[in-house]
Amino acid sequence: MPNHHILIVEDNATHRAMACEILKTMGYQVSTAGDGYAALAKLQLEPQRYDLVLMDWEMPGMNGLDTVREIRTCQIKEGWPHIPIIAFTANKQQGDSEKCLAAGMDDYIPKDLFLPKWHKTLADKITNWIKTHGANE
Amino acid sequence: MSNCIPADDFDLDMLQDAHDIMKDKFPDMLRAYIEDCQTYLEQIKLGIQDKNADMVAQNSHPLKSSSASLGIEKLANIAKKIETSSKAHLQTSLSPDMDDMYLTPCIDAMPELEKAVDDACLFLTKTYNL
Repeated sequence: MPNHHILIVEDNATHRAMACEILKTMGYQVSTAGDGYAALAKLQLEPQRYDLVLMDWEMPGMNGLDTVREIRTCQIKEGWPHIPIIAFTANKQQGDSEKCLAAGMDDYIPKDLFLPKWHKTLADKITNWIKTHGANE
Repeated sequence: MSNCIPADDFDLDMLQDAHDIMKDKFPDMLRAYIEDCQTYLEQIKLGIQDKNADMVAQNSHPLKSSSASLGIEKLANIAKKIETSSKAHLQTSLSPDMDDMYLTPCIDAMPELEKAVDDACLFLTKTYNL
């Protein structure tokens, strides 16, 4: 498995720390951003660096949807490569998943997977997604 | 502060899972969580005082999420009640000034929330020698 670099965008420090450790244990390189603005700043510096972005839906300031829209705009305007983005959402309202995809996310996973008891499932889902879709090769 | 905390306030399996994931980084994460709890609590109090639904929602949400991640169930559930009430206001009103219908449940939940924060911080501090 290539050493993919994943960017986790999540404002909750506990979730961010645990997701980072889970994915590092699986062998991934991991960077984190605490909000949409920090994510954009990292991508602006090195848009080719990240093979996959895990994006929280609900964040203060710039939320996940607005962040991914901004990333897709930068792809067009600034020539960034297509960066696969997976949203994680509580998906409590009808149409949440569709909104993710319409905004430019490539896929979505339930936010409950960030609970410790599901950490193996989260890691497996990410690995299987990368195997299937190739991330940024 | 109670020295006898009911076991069903916590999901000890979840807490152990979090410990297994974080390993030697777990104590630092808990210290950060305890510090954040105090901040969120103060911000929620201020938000309620100012009838500011945004402030209450923005602080009860991470308090709920972080607590749930660590199996601190009672605290997570109370924070969720407050989050739900403040967000219900935001969904029904253009003004961030909370109506009494949504503010009163938040006010009513505050003593329980403060005790739950105290209990959680004490439990974690004693259990993990922070």
